[in-house]
Amino acid sequence: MSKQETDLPERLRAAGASVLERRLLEAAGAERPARELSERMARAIGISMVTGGSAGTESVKTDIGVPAVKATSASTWLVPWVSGALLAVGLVVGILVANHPGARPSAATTVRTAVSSAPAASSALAQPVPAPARTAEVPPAGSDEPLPRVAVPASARSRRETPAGELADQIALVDAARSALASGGAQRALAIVRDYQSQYPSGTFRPEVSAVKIEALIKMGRTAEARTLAQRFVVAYGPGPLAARVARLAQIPAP
Amino acid sequence: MSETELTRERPAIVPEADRLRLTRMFVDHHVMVWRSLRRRGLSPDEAADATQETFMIALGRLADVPGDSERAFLIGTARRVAFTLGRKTFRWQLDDDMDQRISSARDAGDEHADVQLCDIALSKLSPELAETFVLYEIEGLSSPEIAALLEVPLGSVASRLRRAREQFREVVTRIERGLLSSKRPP
Repeated sequence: MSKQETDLPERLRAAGASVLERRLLEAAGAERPARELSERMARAIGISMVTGGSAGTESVKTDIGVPAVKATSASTWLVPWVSGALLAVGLVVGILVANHPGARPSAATTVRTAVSSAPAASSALAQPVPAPARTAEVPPAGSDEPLPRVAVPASARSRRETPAGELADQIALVDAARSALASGGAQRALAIVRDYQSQYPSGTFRPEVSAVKIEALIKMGRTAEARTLAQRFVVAYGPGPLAARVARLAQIPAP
Repeated sequence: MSETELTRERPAIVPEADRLRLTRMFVDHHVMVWRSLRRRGLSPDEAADATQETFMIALGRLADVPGDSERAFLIGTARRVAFTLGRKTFRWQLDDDMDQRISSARDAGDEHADVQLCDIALSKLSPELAETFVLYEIEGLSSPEIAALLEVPLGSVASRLRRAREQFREVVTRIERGLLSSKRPP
C-alpha cells in the first residue's frame, strides 16, 4: 500500500470546502441534543444530569445522589470525597450485614446499591467477607425463590484477576442455570442468572448467562423482553456462535 | 413500569469506579454518539434511544473497554445499535423529492436548516461512503480509528473518503442551485 493511498487529506472544514459545504458541515458538527434529551438519556443509564450554569459546564450526579461536576476536563478532584461518601455508606451496610449474617434485607435494592458502591480501596476490603459455599446459593430444584444476596463488594471482584476458586463458583452458577433451563425450570434459571449478574457484574461468563436469561424469557412467553435483550446481546457480543443462537431463538436477524 | 428483565438489566450493583467511569464517558461522549446517530437519519428522539442503548451496552462491557478506546468503542457500538434498528430507519428514502426537502429545509431556520441540508446531502451518498465521510469530516476520527472501526484497510478509508467528497460536492452543488432557484424575488 503506497503512502498516497493511506494519507488522508486535511479535513474539508479546514481547507478546500466551498462556502456552503463548510456551512453544512459546521452546522452538523455543532448539533447537540436538547438538554431534556441529555437528561433523559442520563436517567436511563442511571446517572442524573444537571445542565446549566456557565457555557461548557455540565454537572452530573450518580443515581446515588453524589454530585460530580465536569468543566471541560475530567473531574478527578471529586473522586476522593465521592469515594469517602460511598465508603461511609458501604461500611454502614457492611457492618449491618456482618452483624446480622442470617438477616435478609427488607429492601434488597437499597442494600445491593449500597454494597455495590463500596470503593475498591475501602478498608472493607482489608477484611473481606468470606465467600459462602456455592452450594448454599443454588436453590433446590423446583424452587423459584430468589437467591440470597451476599455482601461481597462487587469492586473487589471486578478489579482483580479472577482466582480459580471464584471462576469455579461462576461456572457452578452457569451450570446450575443451564441445568434448570434444560429441566424446564425457566423461572429458577432466571433467578440463578440474576444472582450471577448481581454477584459478578464483570464476570467471565456474562454472555453465557445473558443467553440463558433470553432463552428462559422465551420459554416463559416473555418474548418482547427477550427480543429486546437479544438485540442488545447481538450488538454487545456478536457476531459469533452464541449470538447466532440467541438471534435464532429470539427470531431476530443474525449479527 | 413494573420491573422487568429490561429494567433489571440496568444493574443495581455497579462498582463505584465503573459508575464514575460511565458518568465521565457519558459527559465526554454522549453528544458525539447522539450526533453520529443523527447523521444516519435518526430523529432526535430515536438517536437518544439508541444512545442510551449504546451506553447500557457499554455499562455491561466496561471491563472489556480499554481506557484509550472508549470513543471508538462507543461509536462502534452505536453503529451496531443503528444496524439493529434496520437500514430503512436510518437513511432517507432515495426516491424522496430532494427539491421539496431543500425547500422545507430552507424554511426551517438557519442552523436547523443547515443540519437538515447536510443530512439530505449525506442521504445521497452511498452508505459506506457516507459513514466514512461523517466519521472523518464531522466527528474528527483519525484514519486508523476509522479503519479499525469499519474493519477495512487504511487504503479503503482513503479511497472511500475521496469518493465521498466527490459525491458530497456534487449534491451540495445541486442543493446550492436549488436554494438559488427557489429564492423568491424581493
